[in-house]
Amino acid sequence: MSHHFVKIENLSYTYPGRSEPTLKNVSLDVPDGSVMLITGPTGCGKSTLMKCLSGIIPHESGGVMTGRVQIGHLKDTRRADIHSITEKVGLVFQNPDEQIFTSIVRDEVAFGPENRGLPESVTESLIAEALASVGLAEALDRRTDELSGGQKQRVVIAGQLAVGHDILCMDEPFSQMDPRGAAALRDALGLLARDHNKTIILVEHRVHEVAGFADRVVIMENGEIILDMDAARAFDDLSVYNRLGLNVPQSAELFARMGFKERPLDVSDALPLLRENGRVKNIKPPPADKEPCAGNSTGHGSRDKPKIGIENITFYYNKTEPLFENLSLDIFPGERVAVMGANGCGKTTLLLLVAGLLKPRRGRVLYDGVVPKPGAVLGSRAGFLLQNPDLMLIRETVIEELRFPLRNSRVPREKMDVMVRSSLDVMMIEPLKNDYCFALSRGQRLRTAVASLLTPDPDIILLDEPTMGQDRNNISEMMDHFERMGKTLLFSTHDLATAVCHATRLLVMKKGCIHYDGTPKNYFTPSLFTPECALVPCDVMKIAWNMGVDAPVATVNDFISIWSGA
Amino acid sequence: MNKSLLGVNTAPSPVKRLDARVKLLGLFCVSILVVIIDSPVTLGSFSVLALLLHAAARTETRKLKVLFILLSVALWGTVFSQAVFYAGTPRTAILTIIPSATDVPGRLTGGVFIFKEGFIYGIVQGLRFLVMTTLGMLVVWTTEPRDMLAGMLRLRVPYAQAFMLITSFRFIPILLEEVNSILIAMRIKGFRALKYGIIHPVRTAVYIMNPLLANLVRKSGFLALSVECRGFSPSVSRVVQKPKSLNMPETAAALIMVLIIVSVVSAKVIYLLYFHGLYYSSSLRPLYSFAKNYL
Repeated sequence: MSHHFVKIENLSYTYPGRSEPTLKNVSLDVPDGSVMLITGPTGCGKSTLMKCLSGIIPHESGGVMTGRVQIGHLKDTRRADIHSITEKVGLVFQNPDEQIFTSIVRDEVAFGPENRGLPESVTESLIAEALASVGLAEALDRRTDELSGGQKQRVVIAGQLAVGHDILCMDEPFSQMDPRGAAALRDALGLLARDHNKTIILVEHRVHEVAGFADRVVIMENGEIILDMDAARAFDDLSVYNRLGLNVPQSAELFARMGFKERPLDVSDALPLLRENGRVKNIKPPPADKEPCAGNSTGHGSRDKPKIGIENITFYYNKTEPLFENLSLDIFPGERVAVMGANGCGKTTLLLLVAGLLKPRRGRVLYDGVVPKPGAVLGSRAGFLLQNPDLMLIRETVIEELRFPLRNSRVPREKMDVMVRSSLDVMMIEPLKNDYCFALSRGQRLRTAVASLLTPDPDIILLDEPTMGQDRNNISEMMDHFERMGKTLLFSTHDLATAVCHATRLLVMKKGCIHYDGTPKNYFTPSLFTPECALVPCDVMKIAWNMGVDAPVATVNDFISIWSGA
Repeated sequence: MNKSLLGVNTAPSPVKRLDARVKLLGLFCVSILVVIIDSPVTLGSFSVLALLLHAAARTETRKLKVLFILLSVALWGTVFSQAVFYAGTPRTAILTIIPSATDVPGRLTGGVFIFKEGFIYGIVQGLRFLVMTTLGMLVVWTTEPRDMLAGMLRLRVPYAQAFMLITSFRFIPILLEEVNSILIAMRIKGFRALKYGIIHPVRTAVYIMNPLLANLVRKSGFLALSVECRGFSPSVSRVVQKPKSLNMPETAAALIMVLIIVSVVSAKVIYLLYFHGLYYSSSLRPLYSFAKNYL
C-alpha cells in the first residue's frame, strides 16, 4: 500500500496575535496519485493551508491549530517533527530563483539525494529519472542561470522528485511564468500526474491554465472550503467563479455561454464536442466592420497630438547588439497600450526609456511635444510601477508611503492630505492606512504601490508587468480605475487576457522591433500570431483557428459574436 | 554591478582548471603571508603577481574594471587616513594640510599633517587588502560553486558553514539587483538617494533597508524551506561526489606553497628573535638582511 495520500480533518488555524482564524474547519481528502487544484481570492487561506501541509504550521509558526493533518503514515503532523514531514512532502514556491542555489542543473537536483547520504551511483540514476520526468533530461549539465523561467521551475520540481517525494505541494508555481514557460510547466506536471502517479496539491490563481489536468477543484473563501468537486463537474456552475473573480478555462466558459451542458476543460475536449453535434458547421467570419471586444474603447483624448512621442530612438546595452534602432512611436492621450513579446525583446527597456530612467543613445522622447528636463518626467507627469511592487514600498506604513512622493516634491501639508485621501479612497485602502506595508497581503501591497504613484496625480502611467502574481480582481480593479480617470497607460504584460480586456492598443515586440501595432483583437489571427513572440494562443483562439476561422478571435465574446452571426 | 559580475569566467584557462583545493590552500597561504610580511616592496610584488594571475585566468575586462575601481578607492582611503591619523611614534610630517597656527581649524586640531610613517603604514595595509581581494576574486571567478563546496569539505570546513558561504555567492547578485530597483523606486518617487549631507545618507540607507530586509526575510524563509524539504541539515552526513585526485603539478604547487609558508614563517621568527636580542648567529646574517628588507 502506498502512503502518499493526504487527509485533513476539521483543520482550523489562528495566527499569533489575531483573533479570527485564517482556516475554519477545513476537511479534505487527497488520494494517492491525484491532482488537487486549490484556488480562491487573495487572502482566502490557500497559502496557510500549504503551510499546514508542509509542517511550518504549527512547528515554526506559533498560533493555535486544531483538527488533524495526516500525511501518509504520519497520522498527525502536530506530533511528527518537521523533518519527517518534509521527507514526505516536497514544496515548490512561486519564484524559482528563490529556490535554486547552485549553478549547474545536476548539482541542484543532486542536493536532496546527497543530503540523504545515498551512494553516488544511486544519486546519478535519481537525477536522470527526475529530470526525465519533467522533460529536462538533456539539461543535466546546463547552467541554471541560462534556463528560462519555466525550465527553472521544472528544475526545482526535479529537485523535489529526486529526494523521493511523492507528494508535491505547489504554491502558485505558474504566477511568474511567461506563457511559454507556463505551457512547458503545465506539460511537465501533466506528465507527473499521469505517468508517475505523484500526488500534487496545487494552489493557483491561473485556474484556466491548470484545470485541464486536475482531478479535483477546491475553492476557498474566508478560510473555508466552499466548493470541492471533481474537475469534470467543478465548472458546471460558473457563478461562484464570477463572484470571486476567478479565472475559468475558456472552453468551459464558452460552452456555458453558448448554453451547452458540457464543460470541456481544454481545446482537445471542446473541439470534438463542437464538431460531433454539428454545432459549428455554419460558422463564418464576422463582418469586417465588427466592433472590437467589450472593454476596448479607443481612449479618451484626441489623436492629433501625441502624449508621448518616441522619435528615432537607438539604444543598446551592448554596442554589438543594439536593442532598438531608430524606433519611433506615438502614444496618444487616454490610450491604454499593452506591450507584449518574449523575454528580452525590450519591453521593460522601452518603459524605462519613456520614464527617463534610461537615456537613449540616439533619438529623443517627447512629452506633449516637448523634451522634458532631466528628472522632470516622473512624479506629477508620469508614474512608474516596477515589476516587483514590494521593492517600491520604502516607508513603514501605508499613509507614510503615500505621503513620501509628495514630501519629496514639497507639496504643502493641506494639499498633501487631500491628495493622499483621494488615493486611499480610489485604491480602497483607507482602512489599512496605518498598517505596516509588509504586513499586507500581496494584492494590498500592489494597491498601496499604485496608490503611492497616483498621489501626485500623473497623466501617464507606466506599468512593468503589473499582472505578475496578482489575481484577476486586483488587476481589473486597477485597470478599471486607470480607464475611469482617462489616464494614458503604457504597460508590459505576458497576460493575453489583460491585454485584450484592458488595452486599446497592442504593441507586439520582436527583438527590439515593433512586430504588430494595432487593436488587440485584430492581432489574434493565425496569419499574424507568430510563435517567435512567445505568446501562446488561448483556448478560443485555438478553437476558432481549428475551425478555419481567419477572423480575429481573442475572447469568448468574439467567438460568440461569430457564432451568432453564423 | 550586475548579476554576471560574480559569475565564473567563461573562458577556459589554466587557473580555472586548477583544483579548488589548491586554490583555497593558496588563498589561505597568502592570507598568512600578507599578515606576516611588512615590506611594501614584497606586498607590491604580490599585488602585481595577483594581477598577472587574473591575466592568466582571462578575467573579463568589465570585471577587472569593477575590481580596479573598488581597489583604488580602498587603497586611497587606507593610505590617506593612515597618513593623516597615524598616531605611532616617531612620526615625520612631510606635508602640512592645515598649519597649527591657522585660526579656528588649526587651534582645534593642532594642525593636520601627512606623516611619512603613516603613509608607509597605509600603503602596507592597503596592499594587504589589495592582494587578498584580488586573489579572493580570482578564486571566485575561476571556481564553480560546487567545486568550491567540495574543496572546502575536503579541507575539513564544516558542511553548514561551507554551504552557507557558497549559497551567499548565489544571492549577492540578486541582492544587488534589488538595491538597484529600490534606488529606481526612490527616483520614481522624487527622492534623491545620492545627496551630500550628514543625515541624508543615513536616511537613504534606512529607506533602502526597509524593503530590502522585508524581501530578504521572505526569500530566506523560502530558501530554508526549500533546502529543508530536500533533507538539508547541518548534522546530516552528506555524501558529496568524490573529487578527483590532485595531478602531479597540482600536488607540486600545493607542496611548494606549504614550503614557502614554512620558510617565510621560520625566517620571520628567526629575524624577530634577533631583533629582540633573544638569539643571534653570525651565520644567519644573510637571512637577517633578507628578512629586514623583504619580509
